[in-house]
Amino acid sequence: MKTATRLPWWKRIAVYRRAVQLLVFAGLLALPITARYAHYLSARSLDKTIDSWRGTLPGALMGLSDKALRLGIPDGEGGVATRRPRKKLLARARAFYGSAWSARLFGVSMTDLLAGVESAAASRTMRLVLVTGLAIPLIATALLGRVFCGWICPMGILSALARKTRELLVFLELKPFDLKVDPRAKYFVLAAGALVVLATGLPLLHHIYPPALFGREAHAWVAAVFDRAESGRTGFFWVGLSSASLFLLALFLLETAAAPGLWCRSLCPGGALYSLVGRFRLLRVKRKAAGCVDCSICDELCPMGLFPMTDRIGMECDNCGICVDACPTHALSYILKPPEKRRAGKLASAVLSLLFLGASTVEAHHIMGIPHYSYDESYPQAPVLKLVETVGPWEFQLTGYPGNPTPGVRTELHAYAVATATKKAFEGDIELEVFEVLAFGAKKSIYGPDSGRRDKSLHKYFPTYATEGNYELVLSFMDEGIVSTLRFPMVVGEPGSPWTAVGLFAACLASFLVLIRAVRIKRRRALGAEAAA
Amino acid sequence: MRPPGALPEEEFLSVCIRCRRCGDACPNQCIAPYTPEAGRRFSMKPGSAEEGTPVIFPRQQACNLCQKTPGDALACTDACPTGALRLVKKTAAEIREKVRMGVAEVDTNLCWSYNGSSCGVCVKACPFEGSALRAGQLETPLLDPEFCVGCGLCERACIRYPQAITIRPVARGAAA
Repeated sequence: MKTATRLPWWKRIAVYRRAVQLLVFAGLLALPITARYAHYLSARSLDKTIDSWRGTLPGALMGLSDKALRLGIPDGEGGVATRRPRKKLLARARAFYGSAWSARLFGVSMTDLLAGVESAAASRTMRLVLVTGLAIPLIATALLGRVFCGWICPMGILSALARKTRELLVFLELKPFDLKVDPRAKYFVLAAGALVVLATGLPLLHHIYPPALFGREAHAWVAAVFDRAESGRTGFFWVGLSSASLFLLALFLLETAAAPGLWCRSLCPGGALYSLVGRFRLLRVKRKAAGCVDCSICDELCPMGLFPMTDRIGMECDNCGICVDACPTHALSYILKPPEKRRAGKLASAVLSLLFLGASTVEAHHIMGIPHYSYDESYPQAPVLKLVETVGPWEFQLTGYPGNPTPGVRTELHAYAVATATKKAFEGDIELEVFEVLAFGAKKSIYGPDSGRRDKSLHKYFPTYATEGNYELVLSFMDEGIVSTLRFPMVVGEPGSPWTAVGLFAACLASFLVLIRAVRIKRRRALGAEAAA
Repeated sequence: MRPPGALPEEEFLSVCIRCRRCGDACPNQCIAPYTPEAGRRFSMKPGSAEEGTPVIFPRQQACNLCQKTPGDALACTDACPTGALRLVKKTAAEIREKVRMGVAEVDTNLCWSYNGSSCGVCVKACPFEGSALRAGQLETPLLDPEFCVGCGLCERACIRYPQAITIRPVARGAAA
């Protein structure tokens, strides 16, 4: 195999593609952070939050968003020179939100084609808002092909990471598998998914679609960072494993150990959809037969398993440019090739019919404003707890403040029961006992049983939780001679999961083993080289 | 309970793509994805179809109908890319017509004003004060369910634990 002549970095498409992908990745986090920024700004609590979180991660993130969004907008509102131009900033911040699944960028709404198909199929209607959001991705894909897959989708980064990890495995002489699944499998995934969505009437493909999952995880992470900060916890925390992150982790491990590029090439239903839409694209990779030396480097490198060397590229090319970069004789290049006339007509009619499929009109209304009284500020408040359970005719409520108590601080719990039919309050005694839930389901009573302090129909209890952890609140009461008990869960602080420790230990152990093996291989190779000399 | 302008529950579940945009757009950050963790503090658990859908827990943060927010439509309805939340302009008439997240309910056993101490916080919080919620003697809340849109500001404002005024969601099976 010939080695490719390496182009200077500014001529390599891969550099620009990685830059775009990393930008998208950063954007996935930046968008929910911008949404938070807009929230604090509209609640007029931005300076307060930035001040009180100084020197912590959420504070830094807020300060950074503030600086970024204020670029180019001079201060001065209401005649005060130093005042932040709140309205302009708010308008700017609110032009950006969402994720790779559906986003608003520069005020323009864009929705993933798969999301559009899913929503339309599940509900069997096509709403005008959906169509307008699909317009840009649809037109871009029709003209440029699957560029979303190659240049934007965050899965691209994960796949690249899996390839890099594979290189490490190869270096460690671990010989990862190299399974190939027919690329056409993804059309079956798409068709089967569409059928299931049609049959159940529920959009389900977003559970396995990486752009949606990455967006969801980014939102969850940002929400966790700022929600914690609002309740005074700005330190480091471990993110719990959600189904989305587990799915992505499984994909990563699978691509690393068994089949590089498996998801994008062979399984992704979104990739299948983008391939279909991008079939008659204008931008494509073209081979100059005169310059080609039949070295097959491009065929080996193509992440989609296509064959640029023999011009068998087809609709699945995502214009990633890896083959263009790698070609030693520069025989491959991008061209703009208008589709043949007949095809162009088909393409135009397909786009148009999709655009106007069952579109409904939007009602226009006059703007009058609504009654005036409410909060000026919508500041965050410590969360509360309201546990409800129905027993016979009674609806039991156990309310608490705060909802997530701090260890060692006396808390307040109110029990209250009302008959759902007669609206009469329960007059008997209600006892509370609090158990600490220890490892392996063992329980230790830490409070009560106590019948509490009566305040008319309320029963008040004042337990103190000594440590962070999971607790169980048990209410017992007697109604018409029958004793009933109710059990409610209670979380104090952030107990954390034993799985975090297990995971951390496993990661340390794995990297230690990798290190040992790498050192051994290095030493052996050095000895081999010596012997050869 | 669902954000304002939501389609009927079953239709909503099929149209919504769980993209989190309404929650991002909400200036009051009251819309959260419905997860088991989010529901736990309110004794609620999402069904498998409901997981990740937008939900409002009024006690935690209520919908303030985008009052004092720039824009001529409710932000979440403007943000929704699929029409699962129908566009609702910020006019009293349109909000009354299209928004019905739930209906408030007063528990007279708990309410201070019904038990001899004048309070009236919920009446003051109501964006439709005078029609949906009026103050009676000792500022007792008098509710007209016809005009209540279920925004939850009264529940959020209630100083009683447990809240004497709560929102019952309109769609059964819906959250909150």
